[in-house]
Amino acid sequence: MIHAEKASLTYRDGTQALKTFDLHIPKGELVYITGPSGSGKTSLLKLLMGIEFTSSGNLEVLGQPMSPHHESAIRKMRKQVGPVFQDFRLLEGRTVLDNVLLGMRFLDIKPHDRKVRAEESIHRVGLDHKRHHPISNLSWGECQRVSIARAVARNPILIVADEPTGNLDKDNAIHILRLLESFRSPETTVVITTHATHLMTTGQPLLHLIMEAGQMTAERRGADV
Amino acid sequence: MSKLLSNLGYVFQEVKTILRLNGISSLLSLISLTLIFFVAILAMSSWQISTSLVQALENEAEISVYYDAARVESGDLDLSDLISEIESADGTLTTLPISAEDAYTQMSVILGQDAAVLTQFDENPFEPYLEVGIDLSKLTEVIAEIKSLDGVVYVRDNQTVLEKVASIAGVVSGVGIFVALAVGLATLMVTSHIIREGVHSNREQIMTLKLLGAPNGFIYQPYVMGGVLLTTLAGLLAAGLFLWFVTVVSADLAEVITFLPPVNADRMISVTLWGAVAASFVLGLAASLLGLSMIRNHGMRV
Repeated sequence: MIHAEKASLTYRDGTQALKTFDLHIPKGELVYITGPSGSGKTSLLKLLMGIEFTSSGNLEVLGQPMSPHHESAIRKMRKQVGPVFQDFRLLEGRTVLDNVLLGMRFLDIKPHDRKVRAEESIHRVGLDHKRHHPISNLSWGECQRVSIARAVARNPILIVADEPTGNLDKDNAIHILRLLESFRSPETTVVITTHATHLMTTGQPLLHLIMEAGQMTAERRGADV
Repeated sequence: MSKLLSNLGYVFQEVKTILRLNGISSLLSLISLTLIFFVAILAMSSWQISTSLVQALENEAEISVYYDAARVESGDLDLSDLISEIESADGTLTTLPISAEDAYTQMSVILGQDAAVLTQFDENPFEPYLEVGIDLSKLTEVIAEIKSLDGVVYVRDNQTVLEKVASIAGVVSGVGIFVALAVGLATLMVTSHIIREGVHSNREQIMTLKLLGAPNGFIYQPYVMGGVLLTTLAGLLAAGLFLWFVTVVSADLAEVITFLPPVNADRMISVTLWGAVAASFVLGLAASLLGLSMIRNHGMRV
C-alpha cells in the first residue's frame, strides 16, 4: 500500500522537513500520524499525495513510485485516493451534492451510479437534509463532513486526511474522527494526521506514527497488539 | 458522442458558475475587453479608411496636357492619334479630351457665385486640353514621356502636390501596419492578462481538482471556454459600439466635410461583425491558453 525506504524530504529553500525514514503501511490499516505543528506531518502527507517528492530514497504509494517523472501515473493514482483537507477545499457556489458529484465526474463511473454513490455517501455522513444546500450555508463541521462524503463516494482504497479536525470544536472533532475511522476496511486504508492525540480512537487496532522535528517513530496500538 | 455532449453541458454549467462567482471581476473584464476591442477596431478601421482615402486620391491623380489647338484645327495634328500615343504611355490610366467650352463650364461650377467674373472676358479664356489620369508611382516617367510627344505644348502636372500624395500614401500604409501590429499585440497581451487573472483567482479550485486526480483537460476546459465566451461577447459588444459610433460620427462628419465618401453601411456591418467575432474568438482562445500555461503548476510539481 505505502512503502518508503531511506526516504527524506528537503524543500527547495533548504529546509529539512523529514529526516531519513522507512515506512511500511499495509492495506486495510488505520494510521494516525501525530505530532506538534512543524513536526513534519503535513510534509509526509504531501509526499503521499505527490505534491512533493522525496529528496532521497524511494517512496511507493498504491504500488506507484512517487517521482515527478511519473506525472500521468500519479494522476491516475490520485483517482484511487480520497483526500480530506483541514480547510475542506470544497468548491464554492455549488451545493453539497454538486461537490460530491464533482469529485467523481472524471472517474470512469456512469452518471446514474455517480448519483447513487453521492446520495449514499451524503447519507453516511448524515447530511441528507442538506444535500441541496449551497456549501456557503454550512457550518465548518458540516463542511468537513461534505469533504469526507466527497472522498468516500469515490470508493478510494486510500483515504488521506490532513488535520481534518483542525478547525473544529471538540465534539465535532470526535465525530469527524470516528466517521473517518469507520471507513477503514480490509480494502481501504485510512491515514489521518492530527495534533490532538487525546482524540484518537482506543477501540480498534491502529498504527500510530509519532513525528517530532522531522523524525518518525512508529508504534502499534489497539486490541490486537 | 453522448459523453461529449454530457461534458459540454457540464462545461457550460461550470462556466456559468465561475462567471457568477467572480461576478464583479467578470463584468469589469467584459467592459475592459469591450473597450480594448473597440479601440482595436477603431485603429484598424481608421487605417482602412485612410488607406481608402489615399487610394481615392491616388485614383484621382490627373495631369492636364495642353496641345497645339491651331495644328489640330488646321489638320496638321490628329487629336485621336495624340490621345492614342498618350494612352500607350506606361503609367497612363485614362485620357479625356476637354473642350474650351467644357473648361469654361467646369470653371463656372468651381467658382459658383463668383462665376460672374468670367463674363468680363470678351472671349472664352480657356483652351482645350486632355485630362490624363495617371499612376502615381510612375509620375515622373509618364510626365516626361508625354512632354516629349509631338503636338504637346505644355503639361500642367502639379508634380509637387502629386508627389506629396504619393508620400502620404506610403506613410499611411507604414504607420497603419505599425499601429495594427501594436494594437493587435497589446490586445493579445491585455486579454491574456485578464483571462490569466481570472484563472489565477480560481487556483485553489484548480489545485483541489488536481489533488482529486482530475486530468488537465477536465480542469481547464471551463476556463478556456469561459475566456473564449467572454472575449467573443466583448468582440460583439465592441462591434456594436463601433457601428453605433460610425453611424453617428459619419453622419455628423458628412454634414461638416461634404466631400467625404458615404459609408457603405452593409459592408461595414458585415466586415466589422464577422471580423470582430472571429478575431475575438481567436484572441480569447490564444489568451486563455497563454494564461493557463503561465499558472499551470502553480504550487504543485505534478
